[in-house]
Amino acid sequence: MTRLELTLSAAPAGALDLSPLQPAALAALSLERIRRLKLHHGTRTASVGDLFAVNGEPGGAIALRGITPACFGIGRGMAGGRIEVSGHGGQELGREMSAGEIHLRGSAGDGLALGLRGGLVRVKGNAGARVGGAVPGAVHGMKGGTVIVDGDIGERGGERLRRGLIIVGGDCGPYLADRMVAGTIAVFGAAGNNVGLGMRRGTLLLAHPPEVLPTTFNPCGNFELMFVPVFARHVGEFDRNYARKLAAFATAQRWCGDMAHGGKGEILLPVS
Amino acid sequence: MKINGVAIEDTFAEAFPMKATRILITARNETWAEHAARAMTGFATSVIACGCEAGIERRLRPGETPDGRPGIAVLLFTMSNKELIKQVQNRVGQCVLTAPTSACFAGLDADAGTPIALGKNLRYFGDGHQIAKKLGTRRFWRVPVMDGEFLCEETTYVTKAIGGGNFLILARDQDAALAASERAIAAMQKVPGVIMPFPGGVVRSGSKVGSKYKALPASTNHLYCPTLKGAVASALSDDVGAVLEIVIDGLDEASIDEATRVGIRAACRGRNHGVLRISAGNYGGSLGPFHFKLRKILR
Repeated sequence: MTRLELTLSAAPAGALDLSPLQPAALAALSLERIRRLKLHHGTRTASVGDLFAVNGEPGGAIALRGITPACFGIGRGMAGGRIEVSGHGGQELGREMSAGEIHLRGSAGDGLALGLRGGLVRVKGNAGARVGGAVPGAVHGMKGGTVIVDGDIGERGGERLRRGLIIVGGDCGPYLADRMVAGTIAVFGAAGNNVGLGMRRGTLLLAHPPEVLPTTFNPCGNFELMFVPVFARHVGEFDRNYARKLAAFATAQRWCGDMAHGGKGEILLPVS
Repeated sequence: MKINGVAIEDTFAEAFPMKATRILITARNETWAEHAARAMTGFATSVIACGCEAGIERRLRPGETPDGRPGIAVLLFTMSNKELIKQVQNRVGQCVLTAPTSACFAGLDADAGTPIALGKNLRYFGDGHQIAKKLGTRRFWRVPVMDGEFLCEETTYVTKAIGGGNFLILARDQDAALAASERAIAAMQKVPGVIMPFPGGVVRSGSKVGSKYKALPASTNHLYCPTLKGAVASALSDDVGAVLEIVIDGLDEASIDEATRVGIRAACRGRNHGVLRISAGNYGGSLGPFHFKLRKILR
C-alpha cells in the first residue's frame, strides 16, 4: 500500500489547520503540488513544503509525524481513506468524519471525534474533553462510527451522543454521557462523577463506576443480557482485548435512567 | 444404472423457483433452541396450505452463533417475497419471541439479497421500552420480556432458492421403504443449504396436479399407490409394496444435487435393503425450470 509521509519540521508558531491533508484530496497530486498547498497557520497561510518534509507516494494512506497540540482539524469531514498520526493528535481530530480510519500513536487534545458520523478513530494515548461530543451549534454529538481511546479521556465524553460507539480503556472525567440520546459507551477504567445526567437512551458499560450513581438512576437487578456477547463480538473486530474485558459484563447489574428524562437509558455494571 | 442392485430410473425431479431466508435461533441450551426452532418450522411442509416450507438446516455450535450460545439454523421457503415477510414475522413472533431465553439473528449476509423485516416490527411488542443497538452495519432490537430480554436482529435477507427437488424410493414393503428413507434423511441432514420439509423429512402422500374434484388443486398420485395396482395403469411393478418420497428445498442447485446424491446412495446402502427402484417426480418438464436428472447426479 502506498503511503504519503508528512513530517512536521518545526513546532508551528500558531494554530495550524491540517484539515486539507486528507487521502482523497492528495491522492491525485504530485509531491511538488502537495508541497505548494496552503495551510492556515495562525492568522496567515503557509505552504505544506515550508512546514513539513514531504516524502512517499500519494494515493494511499497519509502518515502525519511530529504533530503538536497546536495543530487541529486532522481528518475533518474525511469521507474515506486512512490517516496515521504520531506525536500528538491536535485538537478536534476526526471532527465530522463520515468514513475511513484515523490511527493516532500519542494523545489527542479536546474535541476528539466531535460530531463523528462514521469510520474509526483509534487513539493509543489519552484524549481531552468532549470526546464524541457535538460541534458548536449542533443539537447532537457523534452520530455514528467508533472511537477507541486506550488511555484516559477528559470531561464530558459522549456528550449528547446520538449513535455510535466509544470505548475508553482508561479513566474518564466527570459528566460522561451528559444528555446522551442513544449509542454505546464502554469505560474500562474509573468513571468520573455525574455520569449519564439527562441521558434519554443509550447504554453505558462501566467497569469501575463512581461510588455513587446519580439519584435519577434506578437499579433493575442483575441479568445476562444477550446484547453483551453480541456487542463483545463487534468490539472484537477492532480490539480483542476489549472484547475479552466485556466478559465481565456477562452478568450485569442494570440501572435505568435518567428517570428525569424518560428513563430509557441504562448503565450496566459488572457483577463479580 | 444400478447402485447396490437398485435400479436408478432415467428420469428427473422437476423443481421451481422460490424465495428463501435463513434464520439463526439461539438459546441458553440446545434444548430450548430446538423448542423454538421446532415450533417455528412446524406446520410448514408445503406452500399449498402452510404458507411456507420450513425446516431445520443444521445445529450450530456456540462458536458459530452471534451470541456464543448453542443455536439452530432454519430455512424458510415461499413462493414470493410478500409471503415470506408475513411468514417470518408470524413465525418468529409466535414461536421464537415466545420461547424462553431465545434470540434470533439473520443467517444470510446483506449481499445475499433484499432485506426483509425480522425484528423490525416485532420490536413494537416492547411497548416503547425496546432498545435499538446498531453495531457496525447490523441493527438489533432488545425487547424486554418476562425472563429478561429478547434480542432480535432488525432484518434478514431474502435470496433466490429452489423448491421441489425430490426422489422416490420404491421398495418391496413399508418397512424397507421407511428404513431406506431414514438412512437417506440422516445423510441429507449433513448437507448445508437444504431442508426436507415433510415430517421426518419424508412424505408418503405424493401428489399429482389436479383432481376429479374441481375444488382440489392436487390429489393422490394414484399411479404410485401400491393398493391401486390392479385398478389403474400403475407405475409400479408387482414387487413394489410401498413408495416414499423425499422432497428437497435448497438455496441453490448444487445443494439439491448434493442432497439428492447422498440421499439416494444412503437409501441404497446395506444388504437386504429391500429397495427396488429410485425414481423422481416431475410434470413432464414443462412446469418447473429446474430439472435434477438422477443418473447425471449419481454419475
